[in-house]
Amino acid sequence: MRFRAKVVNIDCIHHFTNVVNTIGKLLKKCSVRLTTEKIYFILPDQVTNGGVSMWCQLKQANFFDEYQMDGVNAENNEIYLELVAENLCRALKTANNAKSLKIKLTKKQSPCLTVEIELPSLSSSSRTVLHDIPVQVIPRRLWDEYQEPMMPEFHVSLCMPPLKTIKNIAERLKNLSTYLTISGNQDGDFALRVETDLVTATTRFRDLEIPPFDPDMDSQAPSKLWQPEEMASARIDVRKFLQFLAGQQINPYKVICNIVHQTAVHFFLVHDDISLQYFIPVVSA
Amino acid sequence: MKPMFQVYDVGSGIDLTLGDDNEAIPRCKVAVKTLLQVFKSLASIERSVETCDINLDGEQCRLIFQLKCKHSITKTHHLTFQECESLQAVFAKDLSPNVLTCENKLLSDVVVNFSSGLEEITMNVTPCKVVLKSYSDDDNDEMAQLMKTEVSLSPDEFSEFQIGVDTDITFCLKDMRAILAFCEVAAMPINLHFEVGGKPIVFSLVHEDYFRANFVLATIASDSNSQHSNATANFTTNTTNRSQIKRSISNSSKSKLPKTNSKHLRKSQAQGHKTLPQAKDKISADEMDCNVSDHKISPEIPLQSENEVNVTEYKGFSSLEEPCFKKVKSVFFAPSQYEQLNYTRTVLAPDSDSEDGT
Repeated sequence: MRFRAKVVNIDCIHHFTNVVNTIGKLLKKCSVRLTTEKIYFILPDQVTNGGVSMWCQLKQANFFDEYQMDGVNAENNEIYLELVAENLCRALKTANNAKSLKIKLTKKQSPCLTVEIELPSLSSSSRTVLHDIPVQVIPRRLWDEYQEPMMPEFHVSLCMPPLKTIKNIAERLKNLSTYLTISGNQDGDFALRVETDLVTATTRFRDLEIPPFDPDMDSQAPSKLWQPEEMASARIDVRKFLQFLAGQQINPYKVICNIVHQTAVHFFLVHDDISLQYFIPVVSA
Repeated sequence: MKPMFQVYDVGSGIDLTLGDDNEAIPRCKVAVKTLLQVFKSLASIERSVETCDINLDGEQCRLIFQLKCKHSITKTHHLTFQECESLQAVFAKDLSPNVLTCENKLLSDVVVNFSSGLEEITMNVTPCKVVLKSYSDDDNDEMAQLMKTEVSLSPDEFSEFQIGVDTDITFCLKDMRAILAFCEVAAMPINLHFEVGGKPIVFSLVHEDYFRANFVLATIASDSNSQHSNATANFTTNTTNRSQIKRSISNSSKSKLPKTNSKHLRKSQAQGHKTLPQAKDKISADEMDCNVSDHKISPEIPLQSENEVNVTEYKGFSSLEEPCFKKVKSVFFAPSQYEQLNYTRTVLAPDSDSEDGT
């Protein structure tokens, strides 16, 4: 198993750092899947995570200038690792004005992901900073848990209003109750509602864009979209929703919100190089 | 050096005993927090204070700061002081085989790469390069899970680079951050004098016009790990000692000192006030010297063979595995209770807060 990647372009370094920071805000322990074409950050749907799951993939060619990956064996040419996301964030923080960034899989006392950063310095030779992030290699028999989640047949799919606005609203609503109901319909209506004994507060958006159903996208399953007037809703934990909103550093073109009535909410961030999906299950009443 | 005070009169009011070289040794201490209260707001001091008188009233045990401000306002602060044993450090800074001098920005930039929770840092020097890395204890499984960082610097980055002995030296990163924070405001280059693991490392700073500061940090003896484990064993048998030591350190937290010093220093440099700000600096510098840098580390201390561990304790100034000693690491201190442990060496600095009093 070998992995070695290098970035020289400072913009790519920043871009990669933003992705990692976003992931870092969402989860504590993250699984990383390395293939020849892509890098995936995965949080599988496990009980320990409270039902939320995340899937993020990026095309390595858009970020790295050099990329070499030799997987477990020829048939399974992939590497699955588990690490603490915050460590990677901290390591990349050093790379703010780096000349180059190298990431390698190494074995020190235990398997590590070594991040080697070359910083400019006043003297002729540059300063190197090395970070060794301990990782765990996930054995092949567990690889099935980390497959791309099946898209549930969602009932409503629409593009959300700007995340900043939503975040401000959700922060205020959080003070009222722990549970937030997200609802929408195919007509472009979208609402965030909080209900308590004393008060119900709803924020409504109208005329939102409906994303075109794209059969080519591998991550979308055929959906049974409801009629335009029917509102599908899902009641989720507002803290999980805020956690998703708070860490955003990627600036996607759009965020698609798919609602499966009374089951789950699925957010899909669309960006050139990256796609990030985040599932929040419904909280039972 | 220019004198910092307009008037400096060591009267006979307090009982100043004479040390070995017949120099009067001050024997009192004040709480840093209280002292900070006097010089709380730098901006208002700048605006209004004209002179500052400092008096030591031995009978009442009060240190009196009188700030004479504009518009004939006088603010008087009475601080209680305690008498204590003062400790004298004997460290041969000038005889250190390894000397590095650099701008404080270099070390600050390096230190920022390490995680903020990291306790100790190891510096490895050879004539070709200087490597700073996070200290990891091989025995400790938990530490193996933490991220490790390593930064290499080339000799060109230092304005003075003299390496007599290739060495691996480990000391407290938290203390170093505090020292660097102080140096940042002093805006002077910082000098590192050290020898090998086990011998202290001295960070020194000379501000030509006002003061010189020596921060002496203990280092871990980089010998076998068995010394560390022995040291731990010894400490766990004496819980009373620990609490005594903790009390006597009494928060001579250097991190507080540098902060105030830094503000004053910055302003005093800018405006050349020769009164209040410098008075504070002088006291603090002395206090730093006394509290921080005190202990005799000479190898002439007689040791029993079974007490190899004492070598670690003295050199390393307490086992670094014991969290409660993290402060002790940087203060050269030997409580009198050690006598109970059957060590035959002389106690150089009896614990002033002990019940039998001093």
